[in-house]
Parts: sequence; structure tokens; C-alpha cells
Amino acid sequence: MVPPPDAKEPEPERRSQVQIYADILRLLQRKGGAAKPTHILYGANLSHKRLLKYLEVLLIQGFIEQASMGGRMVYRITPKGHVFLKELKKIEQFSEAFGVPI
Amino acid sequence: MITDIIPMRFYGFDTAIYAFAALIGLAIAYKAYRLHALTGKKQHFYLATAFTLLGIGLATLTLTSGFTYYRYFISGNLSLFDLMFNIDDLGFWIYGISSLVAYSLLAMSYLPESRAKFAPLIFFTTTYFAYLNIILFAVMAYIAFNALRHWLESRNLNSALVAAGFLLIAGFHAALPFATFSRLLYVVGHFSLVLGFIALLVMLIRVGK
Repeated sequence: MVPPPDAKEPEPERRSQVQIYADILRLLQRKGGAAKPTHILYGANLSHKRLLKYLEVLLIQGFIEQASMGGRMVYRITPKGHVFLKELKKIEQFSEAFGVPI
Repeated sequence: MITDIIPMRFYGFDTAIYAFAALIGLAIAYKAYRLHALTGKKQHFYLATAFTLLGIGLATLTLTSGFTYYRYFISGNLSLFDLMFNIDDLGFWIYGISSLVAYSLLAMSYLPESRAKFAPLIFFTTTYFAYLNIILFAVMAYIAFNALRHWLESRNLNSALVAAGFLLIAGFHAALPFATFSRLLYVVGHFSLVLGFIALLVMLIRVGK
């Protein structure tokens, strides 16, 4: 069925800051622990400016670290980042149980 | 009078149920505060504060009903202030008010932030103690309805446990106003309360794994 021309697209749900941090860390996990900034940029669906802001916070918190791989700078998830993701999963399940979005 | 509604064989069991429920309520509050510390969201703050108040209310009820039984078994005297108002009544009042505020906050956590203004109105409802449980039942039924709706959408076992927990707590409030007519309903209501908190405990254990 063709939607009427004035039909609005359903707005995608806005991600919370915690979700964005988790998305970046999970992306690094999926990529084997490390990824180039451009891969994170597309994978996390963020603007370059916003991505830098989030990466800076993750670096300060010690959840990720910068490393060199084949002469290119990459971001790597740290053991602290893995622990954070594990704890976050439990907290997400708790929040989900009550039907209150994280 | 407490002896009018509680079957003799059930003496003390209600105190144990309140203590058990208070501990679970405070454990949920701790988890919810950690959630709030992570997200900073108002809804998570309401959830944490609601379970803190519920835990404090139930802990108060544990102490006052425990003290009442202690006095009853030691001296056979239930009254502390006068014959019309004993310490158990005081405990029920503190619990009633704290759970009314707690349930209102829980209801607010299920409302979109823009609509979360109606719930504080519940705080100002002046009521006679006999009707307090009916109001508590109505608010908890609303919370249970939302939890059930969420479970139907998510089909998640943890959500089912939360919905079952809230429904059973609502059952406790539904049974208590009629305990003056049948002592059995006092027991049924308390079993409903303990089963409700067991459901919440199972959820807490599952998400902690």
C-alpha cells in the first residue's frame, strides 16, 4: 500500500547517552576489540563532531584506548570497557523488566 | 483491634512477611539507584525512591507489628498510647502513607514525562484508614495494568515476573479491607504479598546473573 503523500515517517526513537556509549563499545566488541574511527562513525550512526565528544569521554573513563594497528590509529576496548558492558547488560535487563526505557 | 482480624495461628507470620518484603524492596531500590546513577533519568529516580519508601514502610510495619506481638505474648497488652490507637495502628499509618507515595511514584515512572503531573494529586487525597487500602489497590492496579501491557509487548519473562509481582501486591490491598469480615482474607492477602515479593526477587536474581 502506498502511503498518502502527507503521511509522516515514524520518528526513530532517540537514543540516550548511555545507549550511545554502549553502542560504541558493542561495535568495538563486534569488530574484535578494535576499530578505526571511520568504522565507528558509520557503525554508531553519529556525526563526526558528536563521535569525538563520546570517544573523549570513553577515553577519560578508561573504557577505550588509542592504539596503532598497521600504521593506522584505532580505538580499542579495554577490560574496564568489557566490565562496563557486562554491568550495563544487567542494568538494561532490570530496566526492561519494569518497562522503563534506559 | 489487631486480634479481631488476624487468625491466632498466623500471629507473627505477617511480621516475617513484612521483613522479607522490606528486604526485597530495599534490594530493588539499590539496583534502581544504580540505574539512575547511570542514566540520570527522572523515571529511574521515581522507581528507586518508590522502592526505598516501600522498603522503609514495610520495615516500619515489621518493627511495630513485631513489637505488638512481643507485648501481646509478654503482657497480653496490645495498646501503647491508649485503647483506641495502638502501635500497630501507627505502623499501618506510616506504611499506608509511605506506600501511597511510593505507588504514586511508580505510577509516574510509567507515565510519559509530560503527563507525570497528575500523580502527585494522589498524595493530597485525604482518607480514612479503612479506605486507604482501596486507594492503594486502585493505584497498584494501574501500575500492574501498565506492567502487564509491557509484558504483552515484550514477552519477556522478567517483565512477566514484575507484572505478576505488582498484581499480587494489588491482591494484598484488595483483600485487606475485607479482613474484618473474614480472618482468612487477612492470611490470603499476606500470602499474596509474599508471593508478589518472591516474584520480584526472582526477577532481581535473574537480572543479576
